[in-house]
Amino acid sequence: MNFCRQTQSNSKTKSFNTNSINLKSSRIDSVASLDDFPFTKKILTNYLNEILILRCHCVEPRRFQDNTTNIKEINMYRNIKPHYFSIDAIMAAQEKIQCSFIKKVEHVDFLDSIYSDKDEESDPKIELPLWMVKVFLVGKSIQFDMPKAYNEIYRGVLTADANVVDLFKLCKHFYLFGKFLSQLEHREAYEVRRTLIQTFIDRFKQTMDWAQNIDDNQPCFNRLDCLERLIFNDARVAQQHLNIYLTEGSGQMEIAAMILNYRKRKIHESRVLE
Amino acid sequence: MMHPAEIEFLAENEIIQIVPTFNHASHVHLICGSYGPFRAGLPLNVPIWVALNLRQKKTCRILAPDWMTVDKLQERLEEEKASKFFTQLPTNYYLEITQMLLTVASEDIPQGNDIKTAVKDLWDLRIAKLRSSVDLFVKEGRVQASLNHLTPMEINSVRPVFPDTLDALMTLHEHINSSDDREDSSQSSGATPSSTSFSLSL
Repeated sequence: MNFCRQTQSNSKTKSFNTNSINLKSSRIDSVASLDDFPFTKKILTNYLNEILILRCHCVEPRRFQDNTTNIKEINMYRNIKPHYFSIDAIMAAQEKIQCSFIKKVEHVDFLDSIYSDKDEESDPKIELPLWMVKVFLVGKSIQFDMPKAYNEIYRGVLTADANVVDLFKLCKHFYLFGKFLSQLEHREAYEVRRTLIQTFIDRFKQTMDWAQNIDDNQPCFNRLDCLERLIFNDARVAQQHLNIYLTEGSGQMEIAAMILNYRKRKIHESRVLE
Repeated sequence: MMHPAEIEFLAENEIIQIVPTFNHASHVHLICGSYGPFRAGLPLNVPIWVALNLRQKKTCRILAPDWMTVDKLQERLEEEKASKFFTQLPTNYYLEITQMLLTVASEDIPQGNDIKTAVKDLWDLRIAKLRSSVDLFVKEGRVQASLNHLTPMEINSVRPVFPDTLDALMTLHEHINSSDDREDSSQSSGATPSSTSFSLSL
């Protein structure tokens, strides 16, 4: 499933980040990894499991058999908007941001058991996930730099030609993470927002073209952001149906299971009556 | 999203002319209407699904619809090329009807292969037009578009992409507006922005 793949890749980046921080400073590494917040991690894991169960119950994908391809799922209730249970939104909120504390922060020792008695004042750069930055920002005790994908250089690249950029490599949840970022208070937030919208508009035609025309589209698919992938997949499935229909026709109609059962019951009832 | 087969099912209710080779004096009463009487050699109107069924039993001959000739289709094609917008077609299900008739009753329709090519040309032209107008719509951020004379199958080809794209764009825009309000209020309150409440839910 989609979700499993993402968690794996996420844990990979996490460990990578921790290693890189280890080299820089021995003190920061304890804060940087989610493993060091056992309490938070437990909540989060439970939460993810709960979501998984909920998703399985709510969404019943319609399954059908194609002649040439394997079983495909059509999810009719796809939600592009990030909602409370959206796994993509949770993953996007996990992305790390470089930031530094400008004020002394207290009462966060329950998050970090090792440094329970120390303050976070006058730290150098530190990497925190977005959802934590959000909390600290309320108290105005932190300031952050825009991550690499959203800084001035990359904004220039995206404005020049968004179609050539490998968005997935740049940031897995480019649009969602960018959206969350631009909701925070930052002097560049407005530019980030403008770039996000313009990038999406510029790349839309390309996404649609790839989905509807190219047969072997794995290389193209790899360059799309998660949001674009949703749209891409839908377009792809629809195009495959159309192609199959045009080449092979619609095939034989079948009797619905409900009708068949109804008939069986009728026969059974008539037998009982006799 | 509809499956192409579902649209074909809708197309099967279109009326078509057949020449039966059997006699059946009374009307046949169906949910979609009453048809008959069937007299050998005399043409009559029936829904396509009836026509196809009878044709498969070899008890009738299907008469191609008026528009299904190479000349007529070429005319349509030229008209479509000349027009900036979508032109009205004789039927809403030209692709499906051609497909169905040519698979079951290809012997009844003269120049079947040419007709198939012409219909495919028409389809390709209209789809290209549709895709470029969808792109224009998104690029220029328009708010309304008229979809006159688009057929169900054509609409279905953009259906999985278009609403989701607009939804995604709206989500991005929506939050711009709310943030603009926030900026305005913080500017009015002076150099030190008042503590604004952040929503902590995702």
